[in-house]
Amino acid sequence: MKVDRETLQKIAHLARLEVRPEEEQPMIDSLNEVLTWMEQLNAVDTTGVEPLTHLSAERNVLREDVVGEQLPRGNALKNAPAKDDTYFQVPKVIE
Amino acid sequence: MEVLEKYEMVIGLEVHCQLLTATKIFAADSNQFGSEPNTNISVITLGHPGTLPKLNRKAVELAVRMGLACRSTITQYNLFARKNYFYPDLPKGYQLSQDKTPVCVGGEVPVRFRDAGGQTLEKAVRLHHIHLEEDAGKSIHEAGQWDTWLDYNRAGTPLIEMVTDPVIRSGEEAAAYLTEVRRLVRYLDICDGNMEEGSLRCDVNISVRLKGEERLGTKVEVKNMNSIRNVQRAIETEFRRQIEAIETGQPIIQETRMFDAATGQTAGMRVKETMNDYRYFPDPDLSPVVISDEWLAEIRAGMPALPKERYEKLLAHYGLPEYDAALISDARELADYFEAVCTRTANYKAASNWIMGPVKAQTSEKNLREQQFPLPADKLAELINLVDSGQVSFSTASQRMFPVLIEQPEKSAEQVAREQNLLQNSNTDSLLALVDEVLAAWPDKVKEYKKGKKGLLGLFVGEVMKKSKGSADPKLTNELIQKSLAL
Repeated sequence: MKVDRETLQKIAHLARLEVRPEEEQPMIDSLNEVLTWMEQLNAVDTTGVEPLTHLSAERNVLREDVVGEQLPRGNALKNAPAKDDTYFQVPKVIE
Repeated sequence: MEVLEKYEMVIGLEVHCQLLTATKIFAADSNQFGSEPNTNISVITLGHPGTLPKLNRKAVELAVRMGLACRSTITQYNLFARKNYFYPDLPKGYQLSQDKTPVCVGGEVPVRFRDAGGQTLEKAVRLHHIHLEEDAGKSIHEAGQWDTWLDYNRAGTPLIEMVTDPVIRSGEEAAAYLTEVRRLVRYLDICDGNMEEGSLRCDVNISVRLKGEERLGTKVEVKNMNSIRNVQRAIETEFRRQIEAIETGQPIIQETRMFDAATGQTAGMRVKETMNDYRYFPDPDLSPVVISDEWLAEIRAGMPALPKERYEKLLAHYGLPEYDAALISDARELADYFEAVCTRTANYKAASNWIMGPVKAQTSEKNLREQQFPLPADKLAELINLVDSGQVSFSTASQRMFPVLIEQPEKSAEQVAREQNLLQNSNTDSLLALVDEVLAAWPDKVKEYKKGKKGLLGLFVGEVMKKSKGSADPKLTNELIQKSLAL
């Protein structure tokens, strides 16, 4: 796979990042380098090998359905850039 | 109408059910609907850095229950995946969901419905899968306000999403499917099934094509229906809209449309929909979940009885007619109530009659959900037993005692009957005295009766009833008068 300008802008948008025009080429090169390097993995025959999703062997880390510690509203709202006494506030989401 | 008949609709439904757990799916905050805004939240729910989710065992169990009820294959090796997108109601920037390993695969929901032509059809709606995920927070858009307010109480509420195959072919069928899903979740005690409050939500994927065509048309997603009726309306509207577009040569755009219950129309959302690219990947913070054979057996053993089993029990064990059994097993709460009454009376058919009649008439849908019946089961059983023992008539019990008992729940049925002087007088001696009094008071009428005017019997019975203040057993009174007059 080759990353071009369009792909770069698309993934930048998905991550809500702004890439300035002068940053585009170096970033495209860098991403392509990473991808090329990763492509070495394709040389390995993985027929019949289950994908590895987790490095830990832990399974079923479960919680019982019992109410525990909650955050007082005042504390929860403390870090919000915009709020009133009750709600978090964000610029109007138009639907 | 000719044009419409050339086409068929192809529908798949996505149903979200909020699970009845005490806590969120990945955090220990309370999962209580209707709390003060932003009070059921935690650092995990808000997606604070360095916090880790931990899966609620019960959420898994409730999802598996639904899968077992729908005869799905239960996935024994489960992963959770991150579905990435930005929206203010999603604090983490991703929704924890399942992608490659939905907890239930396949299965079906049996439905029975009348099509538009009035024909009754039976079908099994095939499921694609059922997966577990978390709900998002709630956005509040106040008119005239520059900003959107957010309440994260709902964020992290456990959901199952049930996805059907695109096998539904009419609004009636969709409505029947939803009705049955709602009944199942209530029977299984996994969701309260309240569409108005949003604990059960349905999105419709619909496309149209010419009958006989194999290829699928462009599909449109319709959202924002808060009742089964509105889902059916939205489907019918959208079917016509798409056909009209095709017939007039306009393209159908793959989009999400919102249903407006006031106008019955659907409208495209004005948000520019760039192709969704959720970039799913396995969540590294949640370890895989293995549903072992033992765990599965345990869940299976703890399953409440399904509607069909309850129906059959009503037929076989209680000997109810099919009509009664269908009506009473329609809601789990009603079947539970019936069985509770039947622990205190052996007259099962009478219990059924009472429940289908006076009880149901005084029980709203909301009462039913909250198991708020007009009378507790033991009181209803007392009434039934009073009627059975001949102490009061059914009409006295249902019309005079039932309303009083509703008002005065602390009293026993017998106490009410005594206080209101309603206990039937089946004491022959005292009744005979009343009969004699009446006959003595109406000598002319007695003569006419003896001459053959038998219709006067009603008058005498009525007079005796009056004298007894309604406490006389009408049947016995009748017999006694006839006997006296025959002398």
